[in-house]
Amino acid sequence: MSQPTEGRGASARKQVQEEFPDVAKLIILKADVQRRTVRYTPQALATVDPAIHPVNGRWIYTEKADFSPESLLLRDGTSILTAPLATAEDPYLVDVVDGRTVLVDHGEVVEEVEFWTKPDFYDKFTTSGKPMWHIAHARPQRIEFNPYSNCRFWDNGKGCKFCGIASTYTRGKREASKPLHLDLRDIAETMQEALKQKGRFTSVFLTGGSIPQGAEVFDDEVDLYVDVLQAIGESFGGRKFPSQLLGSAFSLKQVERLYSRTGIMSYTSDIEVLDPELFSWICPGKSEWVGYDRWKQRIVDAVGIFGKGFVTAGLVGGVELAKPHGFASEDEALKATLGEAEGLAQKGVGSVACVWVPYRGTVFQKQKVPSLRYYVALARGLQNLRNQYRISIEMDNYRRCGNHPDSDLGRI
Amino acid sequence: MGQAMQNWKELIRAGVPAVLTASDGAGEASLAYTAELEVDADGFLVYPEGFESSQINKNLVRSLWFDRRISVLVLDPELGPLELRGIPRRAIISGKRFEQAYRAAQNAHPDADLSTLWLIEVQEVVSRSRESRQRDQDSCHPIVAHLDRFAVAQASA
Repeated sequence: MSQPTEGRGASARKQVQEEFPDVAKLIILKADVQRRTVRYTPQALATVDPAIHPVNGRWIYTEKADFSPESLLLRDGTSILTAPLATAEDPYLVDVVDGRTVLVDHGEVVEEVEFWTKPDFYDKFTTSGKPMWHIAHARPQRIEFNPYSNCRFWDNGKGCKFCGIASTYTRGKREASKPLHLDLRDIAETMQEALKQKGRFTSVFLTGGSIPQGAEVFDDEVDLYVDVLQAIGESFGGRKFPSQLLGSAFSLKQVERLYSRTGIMSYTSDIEVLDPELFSWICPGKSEWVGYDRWKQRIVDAVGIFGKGFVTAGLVGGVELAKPHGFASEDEALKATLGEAEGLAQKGVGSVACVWVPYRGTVFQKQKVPSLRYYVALARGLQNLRNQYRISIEMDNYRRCGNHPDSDLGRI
Repeated sequence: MGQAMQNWKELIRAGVPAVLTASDGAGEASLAYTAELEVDADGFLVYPEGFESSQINKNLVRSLWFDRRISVLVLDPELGPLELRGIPRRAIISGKRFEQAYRAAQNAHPDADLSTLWLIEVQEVVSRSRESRQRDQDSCHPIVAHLDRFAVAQASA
């Protein structure tokens, strides 16, 4: 794969479609929309109905009450997690043409889209008086709880350079009294309420910032998740239920504790970037407390508890090209990343990548995103590895997450 | 086949059972038997697939993604077997329409799940009756039949 010389906009997308005929055009489109982000026209915004669409949203990366749509769905059920970015150079337009909501790229209507719909529980309140949309966040088929809204790696400024969790929390606290923790009773009530809407959810997802404190590193974080999962588990009679925890790199003892005391079924830990030197630069807190090799090994060890196909390593796809210390070329970055990912796959761990966007409030907010070709090659490479090593990605796929072009490809 | 193109929607609305088939990347077909097809207000054939992990579901995704045709076989009481050939255009996995179908599936079978409501654009209707197939072969491939079918009748000995 040569250095990117792709054109802009529609021509770039079409070039990539021709180069990768085995990758669905809808998934190529998703990756492109996520890297370029969107701008909503007034006509599109006029179709937003707060009775149907979620216009408020609270999770660790968003504090939203601006009455714009939460996000988009393509006609094949693929989610596009995106939001307007003030500094975006070449965003897609979301417009209304002939009565349909569509994505427009340099004047060309590309695809029809629909806005996510609001779950019933968003309009309900807990007995403590909190709106339930403050307690859980919904994707089309997933309910998410963020028990801890900050990240302790930022205590000494060593949070991950692409991550906006701390700035989102700071702004949310200042502007909307966003709490640091969620109350367990509020969580339990919200889960119970959410389940009343038959067919609305296929998975429970938990994540939050890292808490390295405790007798053993991350013990406090694990304690928190055990409590939260037990509160959620009240709705499921204490049995295992479709669920995913995205947490720090827990030790084997901690993973055993989580698995045996709760209904959790799958586990992800974000190693973010598959290169030890870049890991130290981009994730100094993770590097300081655990280190690259140990972080990787802990993810591998978790397979022995959760099982193959129920443990993934999360990546911020593209951040390996961040300047000035990232890989010099996309070729080099792809080869290195897939090489490391193969090492994980050989041990039963699937790697999944989101599309990095340098959002406001992150150290990397002025960086440039890699080419569309890079993201499509990365997505195909990661799915090919899972196929080769027979690792299911159901736990983190289009329905249970929706943020990874690579796991979208796992639908076939 | 003009009548068949008109008839298929009435057949589906009458609840005739059907067999749906779609192929994987290697061309291998998977089948699904269903008595739950519908035709919606926009004229799409609607197929509710209950099993997320099924090969037919994966093949339907592939067909949608790469504009590949699938086939649905139904039995018309007058015209015989009809093959509806079309392309999946939409996979509904969430929202009010999905939830309505989900509840309907559970009303029919309390243990049921619903993966996807598939909306299929029917593009062609082909008769698969014996008579129609014979007619097609005789007119398009006259050289392949057995000789005795062309022979004049011989007097009995």
